[in-house]
Amino acid sequence: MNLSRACPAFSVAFMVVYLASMYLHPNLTLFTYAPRADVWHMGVPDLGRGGPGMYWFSWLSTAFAAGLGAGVLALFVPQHLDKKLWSGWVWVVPVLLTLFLLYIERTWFGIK
Amino acid sequence: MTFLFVMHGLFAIALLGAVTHQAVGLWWPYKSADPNFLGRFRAVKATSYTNAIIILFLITFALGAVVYPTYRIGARIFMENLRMGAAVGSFEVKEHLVSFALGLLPAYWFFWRQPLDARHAWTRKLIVLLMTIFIWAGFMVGHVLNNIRGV
Repeated sequence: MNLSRACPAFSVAFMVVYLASMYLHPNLTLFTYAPRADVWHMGVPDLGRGGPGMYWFSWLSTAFAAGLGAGVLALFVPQHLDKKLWSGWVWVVPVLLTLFLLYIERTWFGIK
Repeated sequence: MTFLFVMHGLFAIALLGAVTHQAVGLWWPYKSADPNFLGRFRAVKATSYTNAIIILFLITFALGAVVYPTYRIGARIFMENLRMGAAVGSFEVKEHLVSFALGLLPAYWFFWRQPLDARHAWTRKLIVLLMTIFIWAGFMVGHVLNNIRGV
């Protein structure tokens, strides 16, 4: 197995899909955890007085599945293409995602 | 739950120390034969911290995930009622940054495998820098929020 492709591919896909799941909520949210009742629900139900719901576990699961899929797919990338891929994407992607994250979370801090 | 929360904090402190040592050793290496206190802090072999950082991160993350629901129905609602938007938002940012760090772990492990590949020296340095920023941000936010309202 060529880990030189699988590990970076996992990392990049995990982070991108994690942020996409969060940003596109509830479209990519597979399940909800209701901590007050200690119950797991499929999808994003209206919990009413049983809320709040937690979606973080779902976003992580979706990201993990995407990372795993990307890692397996990366194993089939031909060797000659592998050498041309820049390893720096592994740090460029999280930097860009962090900037985007700070932008979408700015409203918490009173920034419009 | 309090015990788990304290353990979460203790493992976070150990993780903070390990990742800071690695980052400083990597970005600001000390080369003198007779280092002082700061020099000894810098004069560490960055490679030797990798596995410890991965294990400490996973334990800290898992403990954080266990105590998170208690925060969600306790401390967070308390802060929301007081309209402490910045505090709640800080935790939101922390939650996502540590998730990024979790995703980054396989690449971090891969680029620190022995023997180190000289072609990836900058990638290695920048991944460590990111991990350090994410972990410090997570720790500081958790610490301040715990001062506002403990779990």
